[in-house]
Amino acid sequence: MSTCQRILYVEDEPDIQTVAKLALEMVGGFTVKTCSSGEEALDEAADFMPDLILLDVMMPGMDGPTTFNRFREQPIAAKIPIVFMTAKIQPSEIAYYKSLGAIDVIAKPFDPMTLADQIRIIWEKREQNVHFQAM
Amino acid sequence: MISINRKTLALSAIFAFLAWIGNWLNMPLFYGVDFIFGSTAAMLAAALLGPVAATMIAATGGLYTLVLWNQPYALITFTAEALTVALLYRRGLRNLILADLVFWFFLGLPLILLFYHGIIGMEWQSTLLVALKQPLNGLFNALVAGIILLVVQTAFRPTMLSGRFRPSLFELLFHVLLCSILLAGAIPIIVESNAQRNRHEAFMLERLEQIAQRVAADIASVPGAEIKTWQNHLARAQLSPQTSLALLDYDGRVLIEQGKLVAIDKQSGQIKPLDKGLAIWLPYGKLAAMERWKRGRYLTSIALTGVADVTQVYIEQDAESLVLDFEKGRLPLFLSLAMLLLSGIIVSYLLSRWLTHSLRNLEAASFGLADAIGNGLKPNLPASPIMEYDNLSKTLNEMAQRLTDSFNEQSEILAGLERQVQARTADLKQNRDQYQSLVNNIPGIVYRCKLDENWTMLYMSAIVDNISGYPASDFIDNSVRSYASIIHPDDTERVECSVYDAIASGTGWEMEYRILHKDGSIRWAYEKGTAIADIAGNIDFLDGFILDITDRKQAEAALRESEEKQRHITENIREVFWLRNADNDRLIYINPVYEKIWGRNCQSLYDDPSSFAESIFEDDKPVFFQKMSQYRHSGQFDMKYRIMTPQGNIRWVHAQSFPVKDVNGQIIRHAGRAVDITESMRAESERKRVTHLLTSVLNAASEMSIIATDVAGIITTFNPGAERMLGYTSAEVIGKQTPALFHKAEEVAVRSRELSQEFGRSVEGFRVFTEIPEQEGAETREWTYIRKDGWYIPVSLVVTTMRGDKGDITGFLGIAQNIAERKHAEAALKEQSRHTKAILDTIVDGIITIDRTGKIKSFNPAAEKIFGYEAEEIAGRNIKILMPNPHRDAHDSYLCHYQSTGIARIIGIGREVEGLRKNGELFPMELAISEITLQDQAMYVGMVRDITERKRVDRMKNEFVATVSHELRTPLTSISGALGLLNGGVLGELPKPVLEIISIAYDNSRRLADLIDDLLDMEKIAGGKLQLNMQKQDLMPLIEQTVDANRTYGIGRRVSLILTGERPKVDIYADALRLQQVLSNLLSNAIKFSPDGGDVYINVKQINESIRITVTDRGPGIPDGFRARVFQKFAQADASDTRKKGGTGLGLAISRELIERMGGRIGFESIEGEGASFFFELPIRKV
Repeated sequence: MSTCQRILYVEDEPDIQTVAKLALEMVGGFTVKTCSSGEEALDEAADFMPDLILLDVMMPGMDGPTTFNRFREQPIAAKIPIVFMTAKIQPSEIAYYKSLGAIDVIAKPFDPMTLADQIRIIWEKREQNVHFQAM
Repeated sequence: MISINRKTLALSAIFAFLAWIGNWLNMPLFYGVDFIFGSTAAMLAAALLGPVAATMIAATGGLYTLVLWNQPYALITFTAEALTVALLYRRGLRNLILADLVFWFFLGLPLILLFYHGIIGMEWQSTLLVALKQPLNGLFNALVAGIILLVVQTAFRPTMLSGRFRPSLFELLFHVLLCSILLAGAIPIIVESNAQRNRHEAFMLERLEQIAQRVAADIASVPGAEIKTWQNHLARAQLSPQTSLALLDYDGRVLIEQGKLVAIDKQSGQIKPLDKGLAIWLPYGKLAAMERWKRGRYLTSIALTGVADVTQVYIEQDAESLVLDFEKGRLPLFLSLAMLLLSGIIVSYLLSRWLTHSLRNLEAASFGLADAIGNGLKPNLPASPIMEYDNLSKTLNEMAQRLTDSFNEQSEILAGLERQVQARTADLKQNRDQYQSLVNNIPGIVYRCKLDENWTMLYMSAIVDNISGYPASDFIDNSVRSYASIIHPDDTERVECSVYDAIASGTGWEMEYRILHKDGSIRWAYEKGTAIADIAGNIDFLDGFILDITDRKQAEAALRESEEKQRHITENIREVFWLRNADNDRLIYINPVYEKIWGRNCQSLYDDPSSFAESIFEDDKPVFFQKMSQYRHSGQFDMKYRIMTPQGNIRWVHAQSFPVKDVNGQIIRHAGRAVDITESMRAESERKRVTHLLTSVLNAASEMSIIATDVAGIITTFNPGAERMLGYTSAEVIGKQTPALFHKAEEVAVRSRELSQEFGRSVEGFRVFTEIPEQEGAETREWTYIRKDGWYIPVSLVVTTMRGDKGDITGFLGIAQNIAERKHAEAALKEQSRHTKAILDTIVDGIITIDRTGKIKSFNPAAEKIFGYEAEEIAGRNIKILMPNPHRDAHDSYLCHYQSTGIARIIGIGREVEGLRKNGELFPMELAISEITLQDQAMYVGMVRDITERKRVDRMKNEFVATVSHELRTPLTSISGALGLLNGGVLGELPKPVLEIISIAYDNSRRLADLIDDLLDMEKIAGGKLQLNMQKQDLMPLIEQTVDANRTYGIGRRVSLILTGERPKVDIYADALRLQQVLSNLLSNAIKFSPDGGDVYINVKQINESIRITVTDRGPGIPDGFRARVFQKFAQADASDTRKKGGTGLGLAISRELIERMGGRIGFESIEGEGASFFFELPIRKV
């Protein structure tokens, strides 16, 4: 079973970026790379090689779902699991993110103290699923 | 035209079927000659059903010959046969065989010769064969049909068949004889035919065996020879190309052969073993039997011993030569058969004719026998050479002779009798004449009639019936009129009753009844009569005597009338008279009326002349005695007093008495009279009572002016009400004034003009008031009275006529009521309604009234503006045109439902609905309906408010809230996150005061986030945007998961969540997330309000078809004053709670909305100070 260590975090709002990065690094002990837009994230992903991408939905320019699809087109990043983090969490919206292929959705505002745990749980759940599928 | 009934049709069908079957059952009589039986059916049809059916049936059956013989000529011949026979049969040739014989001789044989020799080109020999066979066959069938007919006719003769189908002895004999001859003759011929064939075949076998044995001998003579040698032997033995030979081995295989072996091949034909080792091979294929035989081959084999390999010599030969021989021999056979048949027919015919000849003679002679005997002639029956017939003839002759003798004897006796009767009749006539002269001399009529409703007369003695005035002959046999018709209709029934009663009791009758005389008068008849019955008791006729008793009856009536008058006079004397002696007071006479009035008998007064005074009423006695004593002096007594009869009745009596003096002036008697005046006294008192009542009424009607006038208009009554109203005293007006005094002259003038115009004549003065009442009895109008002091009073005046006993007008009565107040009220009401209308017209809400059927009754201007209809155009139309569907179509039923059940959808409730403007635009509106009752009719008033604008504002507001909330979240995420990190100590230890402040800031940022969430939910609910993802859910895991998720929240305050109760395994239909939200909300509330260390119980329970989840805490409970607002938005019991307990105040409102949207309900129970139980229920999903 692989572990989740490197997280690429895409968020246009600098304040939230800071808070989340702090929470993930200091509380969760992850290695976090933040990007302020979808384009930047697409550029960085190949270098950073994240285990997981945390993706905001509402961003100026390229929004979350578009970015998501672009990641899927990249050979290198195509298999990296992506989690959306957003304030838009109506059931229909969540269903939409999942239909794209997101492994989960984290609601904003998030609890900085439990954010890391939340991500770990999502990761483990996914790992189990992958494991089952492998069997 | 041919009329075909159903029975004939069915029979035809059956015969057609039988004809076909008969032909199909063809029987090879001789080899190659097929006998067919279809024409049996055709012959039967010819006899029973006629030419058309017979022809059709023969044709149907003949179709089979197409198959059998492959040519149509037989069909034509058979059809012609059936037609000819049927026609002959119909013409009277009732013998099928003879008819058939005729056909074959004259038509059949030429046809066959033409067809078979001429057209087919058959050889003469074969043609002859056919020409013999077909008639034979036909005649045979005719014979069979004839026999069947005879059997059927004999079996069903009497009932089912008409006379023409009855078989004659001749036919019977003919058929029997012919049958016998044929059986006797044909069998040897057929046997001979078979014997011939056997002879031919035996000869064939012998020849074949000879050849085979020669071959066998040749082969055996040279043992061990080669095949070639054997071939030579075979070649030598083969005498003709029609013969083939072969040597066969053990297994029957051909070793060598000579000539063509045909029969060995079992594929193309069939081998039929015959006698003694001979067999015949017959080819398959569609061939006539004779042809098949011709193409067949006879075969046989003999065993061969002593030669290796070869075991049999096999030989076969064409059958043709044998068949040709056979055919040659067949013709004579047929000829003899034909001869046999022909001679049989002739012999049978002659024989049967001869045998029945005598019988027929006898039969013919017997036809006239009855007449001969009847005429007394000597019968003569023919003699016969045959003994039995002769004997029969003799016997019949003898019998007839005796019959004739006895007939003659009887005739003589009859003649004697007739003479006697004539003599007796003459006697009778003489008697009758005597009787006639007798009855002519008695008064009245002697009659004889029938017992029927007309009393039909058979005899009447008088020439003219004196009572009725009609000639007696009119009545005899009812020739002109019946006797019943002249009996007075009122007496008809009585007369009948009398007669029938008398007959029933076996006596005579005696009665009187009325007769309607010719001249129109009514006469009385007296009748005495009796019924004459025969031996069996049946009534033959009625005999009686009728007398005119009109004169007697008239005398009786006159007597009765005079008696009646007498009685009437006596009864009507109501006055008592009496006479007394002056000297001794003795009563000389008193009439019996005394007894009626006083109720005491007259004798008592004779005994004691003063006893009448005992009856005088006690109160009246003193005056009576006083007046009596005065009478002595004055000679006058006149008094009205009361008496009490012994029966207890009280009567008023008016008694008078006066003295009767003699010439000297001496009083000698006292005369007196007394009259019962009770009735008039009673009437008087009643009149007084009524007058008194009327006066009281007049006086009591103080608010009514009641004025009566005489015919001329002069006032006769003026009640206190009138005095009050008009200010005049009655003394001022009665007998002096007319009502014109207090009427406004202008009004009277106007009315006068109106009436004058209406009636086309001048109506003025007092007539103005009385014209209409005189015609119609009464008139009500409004007038203005003028008081004595000059004031005007509006009144409603009713004028009626007063009429005397005879209906003549005696005066007029005017009753007037002051209507000033009513006028005032009416004015006020008008003002009020103007006011109301003004309000309705200016009000912004649309107001519409409808009746109970939904028809629009009113539509105010605001409604016009809202819906776009004009009030005039929509009035009377159904309200539903203002609604969109589905309400439009269902509205009638809503109304109906409400009116029958009282359950309202909208009445008295008020709700938001959609309206439909005239231009088709839909708009939201608020509608409140109330029910009012107007003149006992239910009406509905609808208040309509167009809320399009309000809705738009609401929507804008909700959208604003949504946008703002979303925008708020972004900064809030940073704030909350940053504070969270600080608070969590991630960025290092903070000094305690800082940490406290940070903690407050963090908590509040969390609350702000919750508030925004709830606001968003609220907005979604309000905007109708809340979408529920309803799915089947396993209930318990969902509950357990939610409870677990909320446990941590209580840990800080040591509040435990305890799941109790049953854990039903049920599914519900809900949005899982929203359900969890509701439960979380209840749990967090419960935790919030629990005391530290308190427990929160979660209970799951199934109640009927739903599941109830209850969350119970031990907190302060819900204050009574707050209960009603628990589920309202931003509701919190204590405003300070917001700060103390946290929470947005939206949770329960959202929860209720969610639960209700999921089809459940939410509620709570609480005792203040003891905690609260919040619960919600959801329906269980049926599996």
